[in-house]
Amino acid sequence: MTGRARILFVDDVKEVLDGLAGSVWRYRKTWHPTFALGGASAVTEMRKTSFDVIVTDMRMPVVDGEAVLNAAATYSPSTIRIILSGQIDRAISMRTTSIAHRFMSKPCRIEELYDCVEEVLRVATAMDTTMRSLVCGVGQLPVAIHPTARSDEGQTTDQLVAAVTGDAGLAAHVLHAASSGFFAKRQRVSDLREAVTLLGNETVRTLIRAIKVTSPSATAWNANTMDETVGRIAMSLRPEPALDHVAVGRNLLALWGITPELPQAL
Amino acid sequence: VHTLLHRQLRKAFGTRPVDDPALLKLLAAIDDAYVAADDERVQLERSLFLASDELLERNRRLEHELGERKRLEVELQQAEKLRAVGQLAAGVAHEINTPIQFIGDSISFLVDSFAELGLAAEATLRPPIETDEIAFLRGEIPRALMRCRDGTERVGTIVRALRCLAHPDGVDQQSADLHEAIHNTLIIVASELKPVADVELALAAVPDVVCHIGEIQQVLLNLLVNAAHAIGDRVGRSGQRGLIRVVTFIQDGDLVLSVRDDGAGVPPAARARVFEPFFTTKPIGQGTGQGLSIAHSIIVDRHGGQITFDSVVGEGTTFTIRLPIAGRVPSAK
Repeated sequence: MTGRARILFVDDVKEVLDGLAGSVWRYRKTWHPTFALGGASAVTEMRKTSFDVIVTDMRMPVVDGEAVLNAAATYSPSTIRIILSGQIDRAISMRTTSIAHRFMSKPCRIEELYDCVEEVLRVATAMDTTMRSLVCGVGQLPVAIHPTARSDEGQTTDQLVAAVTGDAGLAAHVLHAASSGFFAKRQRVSDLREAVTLLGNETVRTLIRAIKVTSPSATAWNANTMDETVGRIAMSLRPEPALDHVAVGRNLLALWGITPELPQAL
Repeated sequence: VHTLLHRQLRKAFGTRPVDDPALLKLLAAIDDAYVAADDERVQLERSLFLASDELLERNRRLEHELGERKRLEVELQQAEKLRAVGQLAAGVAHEINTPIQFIGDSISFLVDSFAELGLAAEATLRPPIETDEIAFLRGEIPRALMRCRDGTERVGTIVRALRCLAHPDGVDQQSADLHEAIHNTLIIVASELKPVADVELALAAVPDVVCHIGEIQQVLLNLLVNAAHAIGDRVGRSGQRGLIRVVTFIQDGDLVLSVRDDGAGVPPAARARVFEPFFTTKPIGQGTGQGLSIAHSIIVDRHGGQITFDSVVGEGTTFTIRLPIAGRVPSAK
């Protein structure tokens, strides 16, 4: 990466933006921040400039955080999308698991936010332009949830683990949510049963109901070939012959915080 | 001859012997009738006795059921109230988060910029001005800012703890970090504990436990508040302080959590009724007598665990909870 990272902060509370403007001042040598008051002004900013990172609040009037991140994914797929929210509504938060790369909850110390942004930036900048545009551009993966997994309430942990294991796209999103630190305590989780018990059955059911069914058939999850599976289903959305499935999957899992970032190439 | 008949014969005939065979026959028949009537009466009395016994038993059962129903009703009410308060607390916590965010950020900025300003002043002013007042400010301003930062962080921690505690439990158990729950609960009850007791933690490395963590925190909260009250009862206004010890460890695949206080102890007469609903030794208006009964139903009925206690008057009480780590389907009712 050349120069300072361009970061767009979005919130509908002016004091929050002013506060951030002050606290990120210490990172002025590495960050070049822009502040947008509200979602609409964020979209305007995004059309003017391209940002490396967007950090947005969730609940905002008219154009909310979800809309801002969707716009970012469309106009500028390489941009890293981070939610910084005091929101605890599971149903709304769940819809955004597919569109945000990382989640931070308010109140959050500036050092924590800095570490999070820097980690994803390292993952992102280690990729070449084509790879970064593809991997960061991934929103929801193809999901073909079996109707029985969606329909009624009351599925047991075993049933949920089985449903998630049968659908690699869904599995990746469950791991993403579990690793995010937003719905459960922060830790990297790459085991599905662990992820389901950590999130709790109810959260997993909410996630299953919130996610869109976009694919007629599902690929089964395989923990041993996680990189390859995730890469393959991600690339079924946007084929890119020049890129390797395994590398795409590995980068996406690191970007989502499911697996640790790779040591920088030798 | 039946005693009653004998008495009446004596009244009618005096001691004159009866020798008329017909009369004797009649008397024998009457005697038989008396005996039969007696038998019948005894039988009737017996069945009456049985019936009233059964009635009594039914009455007892009804009373018990009524008590149980009343207990459930109150528990339900309590749960409703807690849920409402919890939702409110979660909402308030959410509202507080935004100002904490920008207060915290602004303080960070002040800390950074004050240091920078100091350096700038030093660089531009030759020779540097260092009066007593300036020296004082240079020392105190950063400390004041640090206080603000620590305070904000503390508020943040309290709000997070409150939000965790208020987090409504779903239908399902989920794996949760019990130590986090202990720390959260301690933050919430700090105002009850601080005046009377110090808290000592001896927490072994334990895995996450599959449970309704909100309910477990409610139990913890009750035990800690009770411990503080027991210590308050013992030390009174003497200015002494007690010690509350919270211990966790794994035993036979269960998680064991104990809360020990060096308070007044449970009087022997009260021991058998500690987990009974509405039983309290606290003065009227201070205890509802429900804390431990609800704790019992949460641990035993909802989690398939155990809750026991051990107490020595004047020395203290230890409550011990055992929870199956993998969670358990609540015991069938």
